[in-house]
Amino acid sequence: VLFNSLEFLIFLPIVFALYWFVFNRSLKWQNGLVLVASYFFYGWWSWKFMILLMASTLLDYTYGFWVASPNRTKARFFMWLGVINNLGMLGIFKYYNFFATELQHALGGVGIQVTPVLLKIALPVGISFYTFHGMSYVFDIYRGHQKPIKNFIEYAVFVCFFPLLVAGPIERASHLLPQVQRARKFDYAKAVEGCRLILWGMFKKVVIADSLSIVVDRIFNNYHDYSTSALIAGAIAFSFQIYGDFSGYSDIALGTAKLFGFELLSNFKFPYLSRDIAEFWRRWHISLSSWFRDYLYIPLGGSRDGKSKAIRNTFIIFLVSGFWHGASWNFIVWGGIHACGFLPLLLIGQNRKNVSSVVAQDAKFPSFKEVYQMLGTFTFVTFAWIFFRANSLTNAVGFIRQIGLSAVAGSKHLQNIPIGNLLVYILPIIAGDWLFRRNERQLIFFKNRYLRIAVYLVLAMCVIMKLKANNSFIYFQF
Amino acid sequence: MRTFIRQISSYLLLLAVVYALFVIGVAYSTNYTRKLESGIYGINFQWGSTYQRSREFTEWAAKTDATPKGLIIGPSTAYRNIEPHILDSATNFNWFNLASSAQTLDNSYSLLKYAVANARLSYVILDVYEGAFGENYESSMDWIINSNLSFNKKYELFSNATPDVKMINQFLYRSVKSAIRHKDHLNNDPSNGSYAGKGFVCSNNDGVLKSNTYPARTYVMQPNATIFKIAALCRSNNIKLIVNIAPVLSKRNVMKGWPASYNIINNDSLAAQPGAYTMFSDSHHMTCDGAKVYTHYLISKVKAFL
Repeated sequence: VLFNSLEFLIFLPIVFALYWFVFNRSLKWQNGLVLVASYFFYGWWSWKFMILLMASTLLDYTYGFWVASPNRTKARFFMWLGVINNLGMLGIFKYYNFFATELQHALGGVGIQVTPVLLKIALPVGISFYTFHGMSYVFDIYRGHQKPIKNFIEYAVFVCFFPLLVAGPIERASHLLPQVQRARKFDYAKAVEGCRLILWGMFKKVVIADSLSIVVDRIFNNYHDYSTSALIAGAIAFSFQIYGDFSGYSDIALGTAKLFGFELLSNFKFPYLSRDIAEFWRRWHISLSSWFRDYLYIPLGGSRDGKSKAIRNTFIIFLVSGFWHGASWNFIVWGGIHACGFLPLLLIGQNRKNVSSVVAQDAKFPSFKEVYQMLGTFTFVTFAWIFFRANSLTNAVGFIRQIGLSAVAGSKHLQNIPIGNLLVYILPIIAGDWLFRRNERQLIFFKNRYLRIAVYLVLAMCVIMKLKANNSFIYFQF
Repeated sequence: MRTFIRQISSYLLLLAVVYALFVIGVAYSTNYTRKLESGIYGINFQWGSTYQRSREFTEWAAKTDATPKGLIIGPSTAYRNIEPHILDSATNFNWFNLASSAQTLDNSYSLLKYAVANARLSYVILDVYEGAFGENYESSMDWIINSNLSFNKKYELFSNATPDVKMINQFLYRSVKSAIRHKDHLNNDPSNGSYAGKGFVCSNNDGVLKSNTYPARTYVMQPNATIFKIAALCRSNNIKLIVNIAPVLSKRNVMKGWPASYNIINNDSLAAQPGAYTMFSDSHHMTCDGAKVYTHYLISKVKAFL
């Protein structure tokens, strides 16, 4: 079931009503309902892969007991077995074909011709997310941050909770499991906040991201035909498309979870208002970057053991993060570019400069310096997005070359795009982020009641008019 | 919880009112300008002259002379390829082509029920190709947007497709628009062809240039439940059903499970003839001249069942 579908509009109220009106007397029943609803939510797409999800859940649940063993050797063995199991699943479904074809090319380069057997199976939706849930559980038990859960249903709800099942946020056992185990009471303020998040998320996805995707697809698929300004506009449009798409999904997930009394981890905090790349990564896909920080960067030594190790570790997490997104060189290069942007800040000790504040924290407008910093960061991020969006590394390089070539050759025979049309979609998201930058919990909340109602109605009308079937979320492919 | 439910319900109610006013406003604005409508609902081209076809059908159905009536239903392989005027003169019957773009079998059945209720039919040619077995947006939306069908009939066609919000929006808008004063506007698609009357559309496109433009393929065609329902409807109204398998370039149909009483015409041999490609403007549709040749070819086959 997609969030932006008619099925979800029917599914959500039914589950909500059952949850609060029928199963509200018992936590066990509520959790059981959430689990059944989550499997239904996933099985609607593919019941075969639902079995894989169940198997993965069961394995990590079992590893949890073994990893908790006081015998550290045994615990370490099963911790690694859990990692191999999860990464093995990812390796088969997501990376096998990539490695097989790369090996074929490498061997072909030295004159050895091999024809690898390639898998012709779809990538199970959400596999990158639920395997990371499972791994975080195993890691947390190994480190002593979490005790193994006896009740399988509670653990399964943590892994499969439908709002976060297919595209995150990537939750931590220590954050979500206590909520699963605690009795939940309906909280009016939380539910209202959830509805606001769902509305704003829908607007970002359906109105902004889906509209921009039409222009972006046209430009990226035929970049040879476009002028320099059109290509730059296309790259900027993609920056907002992916932001609208993914943060829209996360907002709907967070909002839906709130309706059921859960608080999920924030995934986005106005990333395009960042003043440097380090701040950008504290505001973009927060649950993934913090996952890599806690389970990869810090165990590798982080920045504690000298600059050379800090450089190595930084490159590792950014490249792995790129590779996590997809088995393709362009994602790895995308990660590498971000590592190059982050490293200078780390080396001069400026990577934690903007940790606690947001741009124009105590002012109405940003200073010139802040505008300059934000534009610089956005330009860098947009440049890197070209590699993320392009169908291959060759296309990404071709796209960037075409920006230069079109500028040199002139644009008489090249197509332009109406920039004004793009601004119609980009400005609301900038305005929304700017207005609510100090508190993401107050998203689209206006004190004036009439203004508030008017804004809700306009947003809802826009969503209704723009909603289309089969517009999937970009992050579903990861 | 009670406060929450009450608030959500009031918002939904308010939204419904705003939505209704909005739809009425946009529909009414078409009396003065089409900018609002095209900006919000898009310009819906006539996929295959359904606007003219549906209105002409009403007149055709109302005629009560002694000439037996024959109806052609099916997708674009029927309204572009089968020329009713030629059938008229060769059979001395009065034929009408009620086919439409991408018409699914479910919609063919709905339209046949509508035709049976409004005209005394003696023959039905059901044109079938593999795409008609599925469902699609275009098939229903074409009739919802362009035809003069009643709300109930449009709703039936709307229900034949999997509903999505876009379709619901269009359906509600078109229903409201037809209920209030508005101007009819035709959005002719220049690539669509010329409407030649009796539901037939004459293609403006040239013929295919090479015989091997399309890869050879085989399709196993089996009747589904809707075809059985169409046959039952014909039987109960004393209508002779002829199932015509549309000729498609480089494609061979393997017919399985079709009762002989369905009077099947398989045109694979026509499409396989050397030079047949010149009759087609693409793999499924014929040029204007190709359609005439094909209809003459079809007459000899149809006559055997009349």
